[in-house]
Amino acid sequence: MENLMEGPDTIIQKARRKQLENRAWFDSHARELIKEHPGKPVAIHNGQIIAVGDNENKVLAAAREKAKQEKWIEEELLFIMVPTKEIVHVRYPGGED
Amino acid sequence: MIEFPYLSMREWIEYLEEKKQLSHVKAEVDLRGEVSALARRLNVLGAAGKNAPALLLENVKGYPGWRICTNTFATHERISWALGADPENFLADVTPRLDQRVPPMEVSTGPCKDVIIKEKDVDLLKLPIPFVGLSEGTPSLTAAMSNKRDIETGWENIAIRRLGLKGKNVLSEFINPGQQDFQIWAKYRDRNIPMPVAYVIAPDPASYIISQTKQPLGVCEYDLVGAFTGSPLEVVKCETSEIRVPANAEIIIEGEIPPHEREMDGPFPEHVGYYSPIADVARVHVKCITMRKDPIFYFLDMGMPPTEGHNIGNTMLAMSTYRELVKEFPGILDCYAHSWVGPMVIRVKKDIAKNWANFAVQVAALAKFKCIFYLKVVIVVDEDVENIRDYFQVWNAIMSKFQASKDVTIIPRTVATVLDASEPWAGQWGWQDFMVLDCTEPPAPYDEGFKRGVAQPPMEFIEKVKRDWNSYEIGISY
Repeated sequence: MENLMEGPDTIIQKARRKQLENRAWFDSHARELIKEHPGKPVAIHNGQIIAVGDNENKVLAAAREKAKQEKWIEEELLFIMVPTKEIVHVRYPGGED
Repeated sequence: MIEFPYLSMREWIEYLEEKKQLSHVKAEVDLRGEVSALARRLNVLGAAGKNAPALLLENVKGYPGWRICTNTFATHERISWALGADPENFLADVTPRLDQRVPPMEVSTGPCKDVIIKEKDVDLLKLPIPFVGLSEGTPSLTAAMSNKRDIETGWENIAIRRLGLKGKNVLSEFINPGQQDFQIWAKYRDRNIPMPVAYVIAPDPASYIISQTKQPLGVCEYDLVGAFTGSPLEVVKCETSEIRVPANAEIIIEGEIPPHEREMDGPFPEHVGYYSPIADVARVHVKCITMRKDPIFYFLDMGMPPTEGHNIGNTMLAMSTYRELVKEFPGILDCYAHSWVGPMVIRVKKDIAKNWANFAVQVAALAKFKCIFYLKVVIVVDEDVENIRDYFQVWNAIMSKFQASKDVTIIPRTVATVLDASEPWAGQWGWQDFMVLDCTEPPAPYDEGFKRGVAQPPMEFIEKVKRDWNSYEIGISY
């Protein structure tokens, strides 16, 4: 390996790419999720909600159980709290947006 | 023997090793919170005055060959060393250097250009970026020293910013409208052109620390780095812009921020101790990464204090505030910010405070309204508090010299940081109340209770015990 940025992905690196894909899915569905699950912790895998509830630990445990059953590693998982209100749009003074 | 100034992160690490202030961790560490949990534990120990070494994590799960450094600035002593200052006399030692300027020296190349990765080959997922907390949603670069260049004047603004990892070549950056780099970004936005930006991971220690000082608009922090170290900082031009970055840094991320694109950012574990809301902020397109062949990644723990990030930020804010206070008032002895930017404790001379009407409030008001707009609480104490970094001594001052009915001043609805969790954040300026606790000795005839003196061992023996500490063979350092 010429440098640390080269070479094939490790298992963890591959999983982190999937985690980012799950984050992209969350971003594109965030506004719907706020309507459906405001303020709740959700676990997302392969572009799907695999666990949701009121308790962080229970949601995480359910997602981990699913990972074990389906044989994927936890690094693929996106765990995130759905906002209670709308996504904040930072207003920059002096601009149109 | 490595000596000040430390020209790179690895020289600094070597110095800490010589001082027995660095631990190598060979055990595998997980990026999903183990790195931050290790850093957190050491920060808690450090804040309690216990030994809390810096860490070099040498076995990062899923990232063979990478090393992550953290906690090198987690103690007052180490920040003092990094700036070549006397820890015992820190503010008086470093403050005069704030008014000096030694511009950086541009060189043609440097170790940060050993490896150059451009455009389609850029892949941020190859960097070992840790999560801080469980609900973060995406890993964050917490120790990215942002470099932005004014399109009109060429002024370079340097400051640590946190960035969300959003894709192989995409980052999110919350450009805070209350910070100087917003002024630079607004000029690009108003011209409808992308703003070039560079983020430096693990530069020399002085650059990291100095980037967190409060400087007037137009002052480049790199000019101060030279003033602090006594020699010009060596900088190189970026591959994709005119921005200059420290030549000896470990990793440089170059990119641009388009004027109207947004990226969903957060939740991020903010310095106020709680997660930020998810927000549409600036999107950064990364165009190039340059680095050393065997780069060391740097992680600054963030979130609930105490963290290394707070230690740097609080020390630099205290330094900037002290500089302004001594210009305006006699009798200013020391200044220190606990938690996140406060309570700020200001230590003043007793006889000045006693004979100057509302001295404590005047001093605190200048700190708030001239120096740190988001300062919430200021505690003014006098010389009876020896060490304002010691919480216990500050509590003693509150208990012994403060009466809530007459020694508290509250100014409601002052400007706050938008991140203050005690006020709802609606994507615009928040508000906060400002409070001053005057814990200085009152003037006569209200000082009767203090005239008999502080009840403690004689000063000559306190000094003797400090001087002769090792001869008692108690087995711990003084």
